[in-house]
Amino acid sequence: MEPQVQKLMIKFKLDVSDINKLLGAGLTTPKLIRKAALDKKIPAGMSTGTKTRLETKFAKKV
Amino acid sequence: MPAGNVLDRNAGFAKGQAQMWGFGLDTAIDSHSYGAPGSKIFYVDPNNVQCTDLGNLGEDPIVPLATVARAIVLCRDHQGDTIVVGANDFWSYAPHNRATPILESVVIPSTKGGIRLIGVSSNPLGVSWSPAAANGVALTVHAVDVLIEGFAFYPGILANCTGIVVEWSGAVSFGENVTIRNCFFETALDYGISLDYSWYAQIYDNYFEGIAVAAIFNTSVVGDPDFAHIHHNKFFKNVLAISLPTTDNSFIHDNLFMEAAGGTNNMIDLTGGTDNLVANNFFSCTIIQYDTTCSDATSGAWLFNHCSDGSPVAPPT
Repeated sequence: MEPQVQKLMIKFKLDVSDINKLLGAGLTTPKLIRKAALDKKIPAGMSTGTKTRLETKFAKKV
Repeated sequence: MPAGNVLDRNAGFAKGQAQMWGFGLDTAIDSHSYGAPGSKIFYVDPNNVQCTDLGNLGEDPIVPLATVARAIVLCRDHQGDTIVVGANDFWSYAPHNRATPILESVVIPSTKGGIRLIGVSSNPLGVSWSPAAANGVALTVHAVDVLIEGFAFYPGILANCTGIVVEWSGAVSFGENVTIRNCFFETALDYGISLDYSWYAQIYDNYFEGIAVAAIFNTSVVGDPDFAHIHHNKFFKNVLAISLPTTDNSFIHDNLFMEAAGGTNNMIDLTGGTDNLVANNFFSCTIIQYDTTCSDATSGAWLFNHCSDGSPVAPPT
């Protein structure tokens, strides 16, 4: 497993399939993921509740 | 004993010499190098008249290297190699005998993991080290498992400088597991230590004084320096001391903050972080001011911290 994937899994408490969806959307770093969450642009199709959890968690925290 | 190696306050290196700083402790040079069979010590001493990067191999302290950059080139990846940088008395008020500080902007590349970079100084501040030019960084770490100790990072007359940058991009830089200890970060640096997505940093027993922007800073171009362990540091009159917003899972304890009591998030700022522990720190502000100088309650547990009028029960908001 790539170190980049491992770190994102730990940082955001997500499984590898969700991380791959983020990477596929170009969200390759914590900075980009937080910005996408703030803008409500976390990709759809992730595990149940994940999109909502991230967008709620980082609603005011970029 | 060769000329230049008499036992005075500003002595150079001598073969077999007991380490001046940390001898018998875990900070001694031999504890770094002897633990790894086959490891090498490379000596750097720009104040030695026989120093040169052209021909010297750096393993004989009598004929050392002139630059840290050359020593890094000679170091091998994860072989326990240590770079020992000789004392200079740049800081001394007395007439100088070894007046040349380190004047370099050096990068430890990702191919040089496990290097120990040790300043052996005859004063408690450490071996003086300035970046090579304005807007410069003295030391940039792109490798894992690097240890840095015994340096006094200062900008001199140069503007907008940084002491140490540690970066992890997952592409060209893998700066992680860095240890920075027993260093001094001096007035008018913009940043003391700047961390970007560099996890597991150990930062302890350092002194930060008068840093113009932030002593320990989360650059967050890529991500956060999670899992940091920051303890037993002293912060004195910095604009921001520990500024690590959105950082998670870090342990910050037993630090002393002598900072502006009326500041905002200027002592410890973990806004947006989670699962941190901030404990047993000492702040130069009142309990009421603690609510503003630090941030914030949602970033983790804030326990047993101390202010000028007692110990706050509630975490800062």
